[in-house]
Amino acid sequence: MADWEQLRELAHEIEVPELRSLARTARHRQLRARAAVGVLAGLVLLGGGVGLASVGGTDRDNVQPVQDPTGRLTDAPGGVLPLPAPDPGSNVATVDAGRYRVPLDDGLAFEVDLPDHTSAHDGGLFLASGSIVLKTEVAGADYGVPRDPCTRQTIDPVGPTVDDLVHALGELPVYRVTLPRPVELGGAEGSYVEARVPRAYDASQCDRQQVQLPGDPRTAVGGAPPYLGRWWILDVDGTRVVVQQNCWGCSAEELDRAVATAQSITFTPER
Amino acid sequence: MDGGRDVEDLDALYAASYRRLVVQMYAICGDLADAEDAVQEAFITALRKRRTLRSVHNPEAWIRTVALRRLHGGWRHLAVVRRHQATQREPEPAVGVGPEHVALVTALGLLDPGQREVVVLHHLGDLSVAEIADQLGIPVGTVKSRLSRGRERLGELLTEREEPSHG
Repeated sequence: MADWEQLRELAHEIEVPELRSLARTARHRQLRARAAVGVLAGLVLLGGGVGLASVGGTDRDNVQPVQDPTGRLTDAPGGVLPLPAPDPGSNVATVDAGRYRVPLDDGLAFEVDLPDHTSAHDGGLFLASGSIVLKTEVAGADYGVPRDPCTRQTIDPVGPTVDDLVHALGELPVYRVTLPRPVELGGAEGSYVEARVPRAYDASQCDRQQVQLPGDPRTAVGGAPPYLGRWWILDVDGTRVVVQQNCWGCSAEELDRAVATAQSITFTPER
Repeated sequence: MDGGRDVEDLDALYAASYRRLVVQMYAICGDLADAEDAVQEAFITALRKRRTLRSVHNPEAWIRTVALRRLHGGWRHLAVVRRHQATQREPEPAVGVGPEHVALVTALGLLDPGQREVVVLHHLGDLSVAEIADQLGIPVGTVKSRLSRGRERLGELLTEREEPSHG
């Protein structure tokens, strides 16, 4: 029989951090959010592009149930399809070959050509085909890099610009990151880098024996070496968007064959 | 509104509930650090949304829901990574806690995530079936079936552990 009392007693061994330290974090986030809203409001006043006002208002801490974004996509034109509904009992949708439209936030979406048998997780945040996962998201104020991808995996924000993130990626320990080069993807400009963690890297001392990837703390993932990733860090009309093509355990040739998927992306306003 | 009173209320809630929420999240996710992160993030959210928190009937349940959502996100993303890793790895054992805790948490880790959540909230969080249904936003019947199957499977797993095969 399960001994729940024994598990309850574990509570006595848990250290309670001071609430004041959490309050400081809360205040910092509040200030960052206000600053972002201020900047975005200014950009909107200057006529700065598509859907910018919605970006700063995105509140990922909201405790209301997350709406299925596929539900809004019913009238995509020109043969572009909405992602299908998730398979029963899961958050994964199985996708036939075609061009699909995926919302990024209230004001921005992207379209992408997906091969047959792609699985779409979390409303298209992850699009997995074979062993390769395409991850596309708005990289907001919380987006950052781990203090140490192996031993201190807490993600710290790096700053709001494409260059802030590219610079932080280049400084990361554990990863081998190529020099950034200018790139255009889907109508947006930015920087492109390739990152890898070699098979020989000993992750046995890492938290959960995994190496943490940069990302938004709420969506970041990690994996065991070897890792190979292609990263497009883009400025889409003032919104920083990161497109990652990630693979744990596959070769550069496999990733090369899949690059057409990432290159088929175009960014569009979300309706 | 009385800001000083708010602080006192949240202080009291934090002092009273932090540890038990961490244990509940630990039983659900199997990683003490993730559990602590989830609960701390939930309290940070509470600090940022005090107005919302004031209006809810059960603040501890609200904070648990936020912590659970954070765990759900972590699972989903980890699951994607695991699904697409070339080499499947066994679940990692819990660290930093004694073996008597690890046995139960390891067995819980082998349950279906939906069953695990319901079993933990019922047996460790002392929530009724109706309360679980309300907090997770799922039908009462689903809670009952998950609880029944989860308990049955957990019993099997713990029995297997106590009586290892000699074959």
